[in-house]
Amino acid sequence: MGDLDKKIISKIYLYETKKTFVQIILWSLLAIFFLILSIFFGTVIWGLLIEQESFDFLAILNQDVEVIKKFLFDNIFIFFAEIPKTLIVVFTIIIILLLFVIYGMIKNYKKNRNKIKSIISFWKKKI
Amino acid sequence: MSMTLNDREAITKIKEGKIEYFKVIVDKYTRIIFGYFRKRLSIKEDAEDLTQNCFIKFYKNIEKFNEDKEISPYLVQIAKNELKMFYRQKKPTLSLNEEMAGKLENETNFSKDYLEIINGLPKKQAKILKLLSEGFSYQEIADKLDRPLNTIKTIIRRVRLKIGKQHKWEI
Repeated sequence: MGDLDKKIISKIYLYETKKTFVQIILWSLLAIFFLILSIFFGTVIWGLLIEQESFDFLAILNQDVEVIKKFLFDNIFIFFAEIPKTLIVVFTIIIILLLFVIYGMIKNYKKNRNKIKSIISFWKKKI
Repeated sequence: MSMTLNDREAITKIKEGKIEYFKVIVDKYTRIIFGYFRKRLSIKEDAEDLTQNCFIKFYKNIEKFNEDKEISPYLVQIAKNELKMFYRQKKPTLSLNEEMAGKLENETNFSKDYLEIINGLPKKQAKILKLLSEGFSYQEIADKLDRPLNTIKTIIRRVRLKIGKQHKWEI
């Protein structure tokens, strides 16, 4: 391998090292960010539902079948009327984004693993 | 790593993240690309720099590269573009003297009119004209806008005709 070939390969590895690590860090930060957001919104929504005692409608399930038949739909309707809709929409969007980021990370996992292996072995040889 | 791999296999491996297989491509094509530059450039270091740029550009675009196609024409095309850019950067510049300053005044008027014309054109045509005035070749404009070369040529011809009717300039 000539000097020029070595220079080209070095530059390629330098470029790829920067790109791969920036990508991994960015994707990880995004995943952490959406995870924290989803935990935050999840906690807030859960807290609200507990505070409103919205889950009390489940107590109807302990009643007789006749009572359940008569009041189940009313209770469900009241439950949906009570829930904080805007927060739940935001929470759903965050969860979708989180899933998208996780999917991206899983999809590129094998490729990134190979890249990191190549990069490490190259720089090890250099050192 | 087996060095008997063909280009297609090497590209597939690189796309899978196995960067070490780029050596196969570099080993095979460095001489061709370096030779191309060496024939056209007197300074060896320039030829080496351009060869490096060429391979880096190829690597950056390897995800889009169709492994069923030949590598050498693609690399030579990158080399041609690199050479054009190199010549463009090396264009001699002159310092401004009084005589030239007078000429510049006329050119400024021309630029104003030119800007008016560009603003009057549809967005797509204006963009192409702007790139053309910045010194980009037809091929570079086509690559930049992701359009076929012939479409760019047609648009430019239409704009020329259009402007030619209003003004007696040549673009």
